[in-house]
Amino acid sequence: MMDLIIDIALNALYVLLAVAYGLLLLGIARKINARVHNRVGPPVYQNFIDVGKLLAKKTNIRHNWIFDLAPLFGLAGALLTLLYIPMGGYRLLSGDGDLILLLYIMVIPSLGMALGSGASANPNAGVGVMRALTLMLAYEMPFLLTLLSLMIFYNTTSLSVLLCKQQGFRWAIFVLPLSALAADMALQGMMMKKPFDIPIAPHEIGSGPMVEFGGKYLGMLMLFGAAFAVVETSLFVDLFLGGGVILNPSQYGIIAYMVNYFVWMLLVLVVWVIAVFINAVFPRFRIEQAFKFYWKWPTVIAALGLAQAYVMSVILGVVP
Amino acid sequence: MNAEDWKKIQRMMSKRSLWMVHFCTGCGAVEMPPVMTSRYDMERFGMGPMATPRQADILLITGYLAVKTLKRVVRVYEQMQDPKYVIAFGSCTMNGGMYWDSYNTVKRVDKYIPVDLYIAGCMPRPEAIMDAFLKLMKMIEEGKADGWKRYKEHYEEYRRNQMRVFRRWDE
Amino acid sequence: MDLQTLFGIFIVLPVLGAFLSYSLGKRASIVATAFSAVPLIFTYLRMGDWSQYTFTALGINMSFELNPLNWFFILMTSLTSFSALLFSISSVKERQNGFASLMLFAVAGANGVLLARDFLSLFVFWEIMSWSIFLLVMRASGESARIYMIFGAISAYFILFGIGIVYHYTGSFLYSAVGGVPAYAWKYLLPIFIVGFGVKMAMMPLHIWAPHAYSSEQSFVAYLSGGLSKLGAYGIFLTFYSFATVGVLAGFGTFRTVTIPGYALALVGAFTAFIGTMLAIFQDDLRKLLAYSSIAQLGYVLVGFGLGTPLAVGGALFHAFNHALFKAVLFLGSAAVIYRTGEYRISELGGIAYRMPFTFMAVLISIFALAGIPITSGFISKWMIYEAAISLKFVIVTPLMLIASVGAFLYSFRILYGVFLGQLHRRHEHIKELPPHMLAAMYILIVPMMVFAVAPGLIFDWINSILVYYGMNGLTYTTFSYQSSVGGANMLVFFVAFMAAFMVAMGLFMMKKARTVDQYDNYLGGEVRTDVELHAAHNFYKPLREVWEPLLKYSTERFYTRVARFFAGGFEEIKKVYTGNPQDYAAYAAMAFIVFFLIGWWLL
Repeated sequence: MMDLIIDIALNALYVLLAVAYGLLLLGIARKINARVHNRVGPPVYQNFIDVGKLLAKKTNIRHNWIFDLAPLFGLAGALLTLLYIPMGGYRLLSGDGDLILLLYIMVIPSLGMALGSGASANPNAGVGVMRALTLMLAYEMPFLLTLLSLMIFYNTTSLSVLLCKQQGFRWAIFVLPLSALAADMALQGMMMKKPFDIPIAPHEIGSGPMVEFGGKYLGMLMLFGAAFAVVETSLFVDLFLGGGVILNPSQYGIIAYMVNYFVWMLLVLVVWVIAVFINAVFPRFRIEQAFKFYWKWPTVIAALGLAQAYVMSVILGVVP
Repeated sequence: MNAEDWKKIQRMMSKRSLWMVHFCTGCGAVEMPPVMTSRYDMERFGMGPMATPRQADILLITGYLAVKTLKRVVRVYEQMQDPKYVIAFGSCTMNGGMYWDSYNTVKRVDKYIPVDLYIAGCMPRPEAIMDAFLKLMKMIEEGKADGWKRYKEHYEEYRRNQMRVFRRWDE
Repeated sequence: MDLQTLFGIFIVLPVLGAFLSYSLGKRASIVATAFSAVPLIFTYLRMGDWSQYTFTALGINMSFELNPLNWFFILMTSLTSFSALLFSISSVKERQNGFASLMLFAVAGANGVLLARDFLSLFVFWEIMSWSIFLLVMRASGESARIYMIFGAISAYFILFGIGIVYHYTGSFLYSAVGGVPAYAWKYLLPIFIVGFGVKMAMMPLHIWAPHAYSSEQSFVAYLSGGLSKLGAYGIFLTFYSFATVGVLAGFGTFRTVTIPGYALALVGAFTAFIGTMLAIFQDDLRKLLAYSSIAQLGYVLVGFGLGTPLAVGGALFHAFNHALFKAVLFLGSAAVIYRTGEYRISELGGIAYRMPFTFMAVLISIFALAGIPITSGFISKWMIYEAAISLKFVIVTPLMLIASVGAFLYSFRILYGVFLGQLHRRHEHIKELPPHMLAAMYILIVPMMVFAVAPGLIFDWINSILVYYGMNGLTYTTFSYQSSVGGANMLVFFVAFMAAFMVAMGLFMMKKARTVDQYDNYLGGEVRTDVELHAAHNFYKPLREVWEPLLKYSTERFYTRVARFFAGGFEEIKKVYTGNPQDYAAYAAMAFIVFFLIGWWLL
């Protein structure tokens, strides 16, 4: 019983830290963006203030009960997704759910948001969700191929097993560099960073799905965004960079967890910053351009990566 | 922690994170890009442009308002969530400015929506705008920027003034 | 249980009900619902009462059996038929007696097909079912019915052809005698049976009847898509694992432990899933969208049957079950929308959810199941098929399935947004929620989806008994969790975590109150237009369609139409022979005589 309580508390702590870290990442992105534009930029803790302000707004509007599903499903789904992602070698619930489950859990918050924004009856929201879904179909093609290459090469769909097999700097990025490249390209679209911020284009469609959300609704969606910044970068880190596990927890105990956590934070930051730098200098694609792009180059690269994994695993019989 | 402390925290947060929907009317909007970009950079104070009034805290009236535009401004203002603030730019919004004798221009904006802060000038320079933003932040902290409360209190009066100009609400 | 009970409950009773309800006239569906409820309850109670009967009638050995497999399929079909009939009490307005009695004939046919253990009764009941479908489709549109009939006839011919071949080798119609068919004959038999049963399942090149037939009366289509299309899956399962058996299939060679016919079937299934999904995305007709979605989802079932590992076959059976439930609910939802608004084009609808919240909830949950959101059991079956393909390291089948499931999000949102969300049109402002019995018809099907999502072990018990019955290894599972060789998941942990996360979100959400505004209080650049309809549902995926335009111009249906036109043109030419002049006919006769004479002379 005691173990269970400690386990739950630890999981909650990790999720809380991840959301906080996600807000910090958003702040860092704004700062970097400002510096690239030769501005001073807001303080890095700006997003904490923003969320606080939004949640403390005096009035809020809703359109109907389906509208409420957006923040509820959005935040709940985001927290749930965080629970299934190993962070710094701590596996949370990822032992009880594999990558396929994670892939489908990741859809829950976006689906909730799509429902809520659709219920606002604002045509901009509909167009925004249409773009988001089209973009999803676009980037999932290379991303699923890279996932498949990993799953075939490591012969597992479990993230925690994947981390074990990458221990000792046997990172997947060294073994399957092409897949990693394709996954990073897909990540840019997944995080809706420029040039793929088509669904939330503020100047074209009034920030798309978010058009009618304000106050606490927007605040909770911002928390969802923060959590997902961590989810997406952390997914890349867990898949290709060994999840930041550099010390073996069975050997070093609690110190290993702390060191690994910091390495994980650092790696997440690196992946995030790469995306932010690309974001800072690019204009926006149109949605059909984005679709053509994703089904062309990243898919070719991912297919090559898949071929490499297939040859190594099936024909050469490499067992990692 | 009592209610007053919470209020203080809330004010502190809302002053440090002012999101604006810049409803570009008239010529004042052209002064906004310098304020946003590297010369003055208002994002230092957590201010930034937002796409829709649902998300925004301040409404900038950047210049003269035609009667037709006023209706949209009122709608945008009513779609914003409390607490919300209005800054009116330039002399046109105070007394009509160079359009003082125009049949189609609103002479005093604060007859129709509560304005928290006016910036004088034709047009105000970015320095003046920055100064106004800082002033507004100070007012928020002191709880003086209470236009949204006034609008709620005197809603009938504001609506009466608006209807005098519009005649019809739905055109 | 003896043969009389089995035969009486599953076949005679629906037929009796059919005659009775036909004579009743207006309230026929109520009686029909009662008659369809009996087999359903009976099926559920008689789980585990496996028995087989053989008898001789008219000098032919016939056999019926209740075993785990057909029990499972009878459960699906009777569940969907019950809820479709319950729904039809109000939704079918004209000639309800004909509808109800034809539905019961289809039920009897389907039960007969499932219970049969000899080819002769299989074929007879298959035709009863097929003709009932034909007549039911005919109620809505003769054109659709004709297209259905052509494909139904192809299916029947192929099955008959296969039966003939089997009879030639074995001299018996019994399933148990199929083992006598020599291995080389399976080269012909397999494709023949797959085409024969695949038509009912709307397998890819043979799918084009589905969008037409599925556009008929929606409460019937809920049964057609949910229940009857599973008979194709049942037939293919029988062909592979009962008639042919793995040994014969492996005789054709194997590709990484999967038999070559199985691999081919999996490929066909994956392409069916992929192409069906891509076509569903662009449909504006709600019924056609669901039809293509149905085609795509059954593609997954084909993949599962093809891969042939216990996980894959179990997943396919589970997916067939899930599909029966969620697609029936979706078609009933579509029926509900048509019942209330009379409109089936997505771009003409919108905002129905604000007026029909319970219908929306039912449709939403089944869309969760369709898209594979883990809240419902739809996820688990998809998961099983994916994991089976991944653990076999298949790099063509798996990505096609995965990307098809991403595409499923696109068309599901098309339904959700286009029909149920967005702006409510003024002309639909007065519509009301469905009456309770229609809602009950939908929610009956929702309950198993939710139950099996939390405790998949319950349905794995059934599936496991099927797998064991057909000599395969069992699945690895407990009540709440399930494993494959490469991964696993625990649904109890998932649901507890989901509830916890939801509580946190709810707590944060409840802190502030919100004011409700109407749908016209929307930000449109400060404009409030109540006179313009601003529902962005027309040509929803326009950018995607533009990208895909070069591919979309290839269409199987157009190919068939071209073939048909070619033959029609040819027959047009032949028709010119009939000039109407008796002297010409006399000349033809003379010519024919000479030709026959010459040939006969040469032959002798």
